[in-house]
Amino acid sequence: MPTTIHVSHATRRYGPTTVLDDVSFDLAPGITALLGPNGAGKTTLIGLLSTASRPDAGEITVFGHRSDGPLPERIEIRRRLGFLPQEVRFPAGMTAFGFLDYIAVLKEWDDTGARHAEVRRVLSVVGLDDRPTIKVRKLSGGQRRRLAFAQALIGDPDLLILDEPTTGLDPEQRARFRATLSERARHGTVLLATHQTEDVAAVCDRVIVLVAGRVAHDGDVAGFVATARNRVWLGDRPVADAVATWRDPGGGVRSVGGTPPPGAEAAPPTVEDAYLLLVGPPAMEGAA
Amino acid sequence: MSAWHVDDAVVTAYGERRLDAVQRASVEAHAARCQECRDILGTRVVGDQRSPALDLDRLWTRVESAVSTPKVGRADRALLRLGLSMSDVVVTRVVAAQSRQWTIATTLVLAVTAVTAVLGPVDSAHTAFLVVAPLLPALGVAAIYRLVPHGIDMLERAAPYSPARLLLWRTAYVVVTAVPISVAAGVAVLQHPWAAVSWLLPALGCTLCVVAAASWHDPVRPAAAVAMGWTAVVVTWQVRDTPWAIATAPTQLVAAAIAAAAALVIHHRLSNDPTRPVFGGP
Repeated sequence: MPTTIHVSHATRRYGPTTVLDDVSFDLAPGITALLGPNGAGKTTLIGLLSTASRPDAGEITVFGHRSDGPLPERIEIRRRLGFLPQEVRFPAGMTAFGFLDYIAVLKEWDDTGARHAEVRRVLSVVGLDDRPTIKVRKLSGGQRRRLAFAQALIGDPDLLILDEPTTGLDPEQRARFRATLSERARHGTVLLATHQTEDVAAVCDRVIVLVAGRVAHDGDVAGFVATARNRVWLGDRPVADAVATWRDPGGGVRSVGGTPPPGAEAAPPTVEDAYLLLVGPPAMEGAA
Repeated sequence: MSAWHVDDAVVTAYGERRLDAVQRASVEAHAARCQECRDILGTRVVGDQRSPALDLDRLWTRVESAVSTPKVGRADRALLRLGLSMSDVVVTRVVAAQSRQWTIATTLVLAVTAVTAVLGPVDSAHTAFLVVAPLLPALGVAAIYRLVPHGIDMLERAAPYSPARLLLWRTAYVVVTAVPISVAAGVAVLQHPWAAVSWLLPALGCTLCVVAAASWHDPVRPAAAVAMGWTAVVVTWQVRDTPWAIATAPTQLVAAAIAAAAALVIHHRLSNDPTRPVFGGP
C-alpha cells in the first residue's frame, strides 16, 4: 500500500518545552485516529503535517514532498490536502457560501463557475445546501462545525487532516459525518484527531495514541481494544484501584483496570477502556 | 388550457431559434402547462437549443446557482472593471471583512488628529499628524495580519494560494483605505497642499519595509520597529526646530531610496515564489 505520510523522528520544541519527542510513523490510505489527552502534542503534530510549521528535528514527507521543504514542495502537499483546524472563527458578516468561495479560491479554484459548483457540492455533502446565503453568525455551533468541515472537502483532496471534527455535532450529524468519512477512506487518507472514542470505534482502521509528545500506541483498532481484555469489570461496587469507575446502565458498576472484587465479571472492552488504561487518570484531567 | 398545441413548424422554428421573444415565451408558457407539448419539445429540441424553461433540472440548477451565489456589488464591479479577476474580488471581499475594525480605527485616529488641529495648538497637531499619517499603512499591515480570525489563518497557511500574494492584497487594501482619508486629514491639519502630501514617500518607505520583513516573519515586530524609528525622526525635527524637514528634497530622496530598496527585497522574495504571478491571472 502506498505511503501517504512518512514521519521520522520528528521533534518539536517551544522554548524549553519539548512538545513532540522523536515521533515516527507512516500513514497509508484509510482512516487513522490520533488520540491523546490535551497537551499531548496532537495539534502540534497536525501543524507539522499540514505544513503550517516545521519540526526542529527529524523529517516529515507527505506524498513524497518534505513538509519543511522549499515553498514549491509545500505547495504540492497543500494542493492535495484538506485540513480542518480545531477551531475556526469566521470573518464578520460572511455567508456560508462566501466563506467556502474564499477557501476555494485559496485552493486555486480560479474558474468561477466550477468553483461555485464545487461549493454547492460540499455544502450538500454536509447538509447545508438549503441555506447557502445565511450569515455564518446565524448558524448554530454544530452547523458552523459542518461548514468548517465542508471547506476541508473542497476539491476532494487525497489527504484529510481533521482536528476534532465532531465537537458540537448532534448524533444525527455525527452519523452523517461518519458516513462521509467512510466514503472518503475508499480512495484517500484520513487522519482524525479526536477525543470521541466512539468515532474511533465506528470508522477508524488504526489508532495512534500520543502521550506527553511520544507515541504510546500505534496499531489497528481491534488490537488496541484487545489490550483492555480482562481488565474491565462489571460488579456491584467500584474497584478501589481502578483507573476509572462509573455506573453501568444495566445497574452494575463498570470499572476499568484494578483488581476485580469477588463476583465481578470481565466485560467486553471498548476503545475508551483501552485509552483509559493506556493514558491513566492523571493525564485524563482536562480531557474533553 | 387552449386546444392549440405545437406543430412541426413551430417545433422546428423554436429549435432553430427563429421565433421572436414573444412567440418563444408563448410556446414556453404553453409547454409549462401542457405535458404533451413539453414532451415533444423535450424530445425534438436538444442541447443548447432547448429552452431552460423546458429542462427542469437545468432550470433548477440555474435557480439554485442564482440564489446561492453572492451578489456582485458595486464595489465588486468596480474592481472587475479595473482588471481584477473574480477570484481576486473574492479575496478582496474577505480582506475587507477582516479589516473592518482597522478601517474604523484609522478613521477615528485621523479624525481626532484633525479635531486637535482645529481646537488645539497648531504645532502639536502638526507633530501628531506627521507621526501618525506615514505610519498608518505600515501599522495597518501588521494590524490586519493580527485581525485574521483564528483558524482562518491556519487554513490560509495550509492552502496552495501564494502567501506573498495574500500579503500584497492586504497591503493594497490598507493603502487604498488609509491614504485618501490621511490626505484629507492632512489638508485639514497642515493647511498646505504640498505639506499635506509630503508624508506619502515616507509612508511608502515605512510600509514597504514592513511588507518586506513580513515576507519572512510576523509583521508586528517590524512594524513596531518602524514606528519607533519614524517617531524618533519626527521628534528630532521638532527638537531641532525644523518641523518642515519632511518636505525637503533630502528627506524625500532618502524616503524614496528606502522605499526602492524595500521594493527590491519584496520583488526578490516574490520571484522566489513561483506558484503564481503577483497580479492578474484568470
